[in-house]
Amino acid sequence: MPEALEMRDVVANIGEYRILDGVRLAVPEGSVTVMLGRNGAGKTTTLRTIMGFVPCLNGTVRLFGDSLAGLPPHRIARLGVGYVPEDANVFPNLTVAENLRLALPRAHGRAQAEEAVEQVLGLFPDLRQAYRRWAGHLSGGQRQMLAIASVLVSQPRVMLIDEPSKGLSPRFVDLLGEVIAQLRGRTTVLLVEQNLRLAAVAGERFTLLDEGRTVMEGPMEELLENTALQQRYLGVRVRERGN
Amino acid sequence: MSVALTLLLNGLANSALYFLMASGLTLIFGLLRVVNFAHGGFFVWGAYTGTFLASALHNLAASIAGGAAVGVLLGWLVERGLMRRLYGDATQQLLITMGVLMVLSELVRLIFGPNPISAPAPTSLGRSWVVNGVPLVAYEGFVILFGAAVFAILQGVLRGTRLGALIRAGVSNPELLAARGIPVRRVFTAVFAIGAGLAALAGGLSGPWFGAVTPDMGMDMQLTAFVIVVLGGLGSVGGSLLGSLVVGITTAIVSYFAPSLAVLAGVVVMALVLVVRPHGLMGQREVA
Ligand SMILES: Nc1ncnc2c1ncn2[C@@H]1O[C@H](COP(=O)(O)OP(=O)(O)O)[C@@H](O)[C@H]1O
Ligand SMILES: [Mg+2]
Repeated sequence: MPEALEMRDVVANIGEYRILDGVRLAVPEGSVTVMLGRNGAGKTTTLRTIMGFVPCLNGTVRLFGDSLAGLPPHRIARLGVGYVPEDANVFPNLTVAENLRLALPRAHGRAQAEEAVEQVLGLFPDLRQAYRRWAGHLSGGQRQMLAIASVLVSQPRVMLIDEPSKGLSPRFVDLLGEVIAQLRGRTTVLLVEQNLRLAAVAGERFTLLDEGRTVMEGPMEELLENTALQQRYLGVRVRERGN
Repeated sequence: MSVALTLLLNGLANSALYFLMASGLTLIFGLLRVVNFAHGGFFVWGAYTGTFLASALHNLAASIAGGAAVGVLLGWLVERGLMRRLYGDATQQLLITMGVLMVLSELVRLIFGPNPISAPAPTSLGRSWVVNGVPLVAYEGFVILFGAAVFAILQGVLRGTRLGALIRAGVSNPELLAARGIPVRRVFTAVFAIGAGLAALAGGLSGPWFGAVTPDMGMDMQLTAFVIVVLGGLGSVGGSLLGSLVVGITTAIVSYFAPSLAVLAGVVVMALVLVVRPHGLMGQREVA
């Protein structure tokens, strides 16, 4: 049984700079795996390499056992990889409805399309209210929900979500935690998340990146118990006065 | 008063032709981030095809449609054959489109000769009336209505169809569109071909409007359209309409009082607007 997503010894450059050098990753089907690492560790570049935006110079990227090498991004998306980028992850000059429908293949019948959208709206009641509004007019939290929802409508086999909690209010971070918890079982998720609290709630496995290489992988508890590891690679300060 | 009205109608007809050029140019810029100088080449081919067909067929609809079809075909060929090979290299693409403009203009010179060829309006639209001292020319009205209709259709497609949503999405963020499983290059090809068709349509209408076609008309029109697109805001169809109106009417007024300054007028207006609004009349701040 192959992993939903697997990377081995991945090497990638941006321009002339070596950005990834030894990324290894295994995301079991149906799991939520959290990728952590300090700013500039190469998390975003890893996701962009999976999507085919950054060429993989060495090593392998496999989706359910099939190599993604050399495929253009839209083909990788059609194979079932949904990508929610860190920034600019919705089309601000399209309505919420248009954003949600964009990813639905034309082969989808109208009725089927409506049903897929309807199902996703069930998870995001906020979006139902804002259905006819421009995506650019949504709040930061709503926008993040729309970004996830627009990918979810096409029922991806694997979702890559890049730092969804960045800049969100605590209320939305909690909401995000619930949403990601609901994704479990529906699909497989690779989540980049610096918010350790959200990571702990959402993920069952972690993978830790530093300076473009994977330094550790394992069950989430291992990371949560190991404050030395957290301090070394995440720069997490042990709080003096509770939380 | 009657002079003002005459100049206004004149300006609106200019604006309609400019809009056909500028709307395609601005959409192509929005998607490919390239100022497409080949647009002037599509324009001149539309003009000559239209003039040639008009003299052969004596049918306005057929000659305009024929010119537009040639434009679509040329646009398709240029995008698939040249632009696509240079994908991601905007400087090379820019140079290639300049080359295409020159080659298309020179080919016209080679085939039809360097001298202007007269392009009369069809007899059905050759009529004119004088109402309260204002001369009304049928062809002028036709061009204005044509421009308005194209604007309405373009808005309808952009706002009401899936292709329109894909184009708007591509203008805003091509990479995200690819991530959603859309083959962005096919959207590029479609927009490039549609834009080329609109440019050729402008060319076909321009012959009878100017009274003649010349091999250099593409270069002149290219400059004006470029001014309008920058003035209106790169990537904005609404902006290109506004820019077309400003430049079209300004040109009509300046050519009435000082014909030799007409081309300069557009550039001056553009410069003035850019001082006040660096991103154009309706441009977005985050173009890049
Ligand atoms: N376009 C770029 N040009 C040059 N360097 C880049 C570019 N994008 C990212 N980098 C570099 O690559 C490294 C990894 O970046 P990134 O993958 O965005 O990290 P993370 O998402 O973990 O914060 C950083 O050192 C960053 O400076
Ligand atoms: Mg990042």
